[in-house]
Amino acid sequence: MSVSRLIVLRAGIAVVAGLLATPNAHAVDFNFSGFGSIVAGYSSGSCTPDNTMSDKFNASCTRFVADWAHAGVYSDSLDYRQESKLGVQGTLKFSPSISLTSQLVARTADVSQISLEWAYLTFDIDQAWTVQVGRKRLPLFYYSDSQDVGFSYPWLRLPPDVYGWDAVNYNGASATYRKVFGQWSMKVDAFTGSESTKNSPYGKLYYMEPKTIEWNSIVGGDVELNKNWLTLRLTYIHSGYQQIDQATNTKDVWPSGAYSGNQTIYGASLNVDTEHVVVRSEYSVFDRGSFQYTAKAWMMGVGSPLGKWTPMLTASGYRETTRFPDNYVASNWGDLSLSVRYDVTRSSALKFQVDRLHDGPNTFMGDSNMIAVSYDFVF
Amino acid sequence: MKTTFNKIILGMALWLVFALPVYADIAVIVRTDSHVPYDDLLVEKIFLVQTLTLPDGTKAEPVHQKDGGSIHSEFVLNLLNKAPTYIRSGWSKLTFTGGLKPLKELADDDAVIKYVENTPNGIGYVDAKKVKGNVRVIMKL
Repeated sequence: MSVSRLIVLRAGIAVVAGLLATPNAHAVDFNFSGFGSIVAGYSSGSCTPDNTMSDKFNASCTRFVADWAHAGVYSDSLDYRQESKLGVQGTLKFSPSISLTSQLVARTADVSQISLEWAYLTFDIDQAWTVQVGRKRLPLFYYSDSQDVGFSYPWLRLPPDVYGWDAVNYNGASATYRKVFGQWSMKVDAFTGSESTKNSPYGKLYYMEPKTIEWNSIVGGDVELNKNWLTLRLTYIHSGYQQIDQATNTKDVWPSGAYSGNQTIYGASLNVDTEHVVVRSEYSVFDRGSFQYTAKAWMMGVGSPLGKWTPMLTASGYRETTRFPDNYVASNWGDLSLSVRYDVTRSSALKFQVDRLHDGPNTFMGDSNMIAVSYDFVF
Repeated sequence: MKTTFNKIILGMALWLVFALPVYADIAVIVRTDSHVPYDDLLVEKIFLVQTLTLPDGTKAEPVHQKDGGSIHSEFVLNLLNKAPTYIRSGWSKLTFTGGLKPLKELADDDAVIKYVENTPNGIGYVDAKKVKGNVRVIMKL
């Protein structure tokens, strides 16, 4: 862990500890909440020793990448560490319009660690406008904000084909505008900032050597439209992108021959929620085509809330294309999952999910069947 | 023969009527002195936390009944047309999202009435038979 990251983490812990230490202060309004998931599972299927993942994952016969950003990978033996997590969030309200929010998450995937996910100041300028400054979640997808909160979604995990990328948060600023037009409510965000991930867990899926992945000069926006039963979301992000080999402190060269590039990300999401039907769908394009690949990812899930039970059937896929086939092997895989959520109490749920992953023709992780159970809770 | 048949049909109809669960009428209430022109859509958007801005630019102060009670689930199913699990998971998404926060929940009808009486832009829902005090019914379902 770098010195600067340690300082940021210590500052975050100090903020949360400070928030916890002042619950009875009259001048400020304090709000504390948390969430957690205990997840156990394993992958199985016909043995695929020949994969192109980092050698670290070669020992297993089958593997299933459940959490790309944090290198949560199941092998063919039962494992409870890959997706289990515990998070706490404190919000300190200095006045009706100014507050400080901090969120820490402890994970057992990759290397056990506590990470500072969020630490931002919120300024509610009026009913319509909100400005936030600090460390925030990168709003790539519909569930990005609450992606660590298993209780907030119907599946056991967010479909990794869509939600699996190398940056999760960013340091910067955002402005949000809300407006109601007849039946529709609209929320528009614009944001800018940067993110650098040292010892990138995502990088460890591909390389044995530690890498730093940098998203710089991030500029983006998203629009969310809601009417009673329908939610639509559009997103756009542009940023610089580079990868640094930590041992040599030099930039890695991309298949194009360049040492850095620009990426453009865009996506759309359509969700339906009625008393009897739940539909979740997402489509996203990561255009790193000028230096590496363009990846298209999609997912579509349909379910039905039946009292405390919510069964879902979900299909998803991920497909890369490249202009540099001599220097880059494009990946292509798809997944079909059946999941069931059972609301145990108002704040906890048990889930069960089976996945069937087909990877090919260029094998990255290999085919696998994945089976997992989870207990998600909020407090 | 025909009489017997009619009796059976009548018996079945009566059985159906009495066997169906009896739902309480729900009243959406605001303070007596509120001049906000609420309509079904605004009430729905407020309780889904899609907007808290009232037509006069001030902020609505809605309150839910405790999740798990019959009034809460009936309100969620019949007015919001959502499954209770959607509201529950949606709440946790709001809690851990940098936007609007989930609504307060109060224990019962009396607590909601007391809250609405004491809150200028307060809005809540209660069993229609329990309405009392300094509140006005703006919608019944």
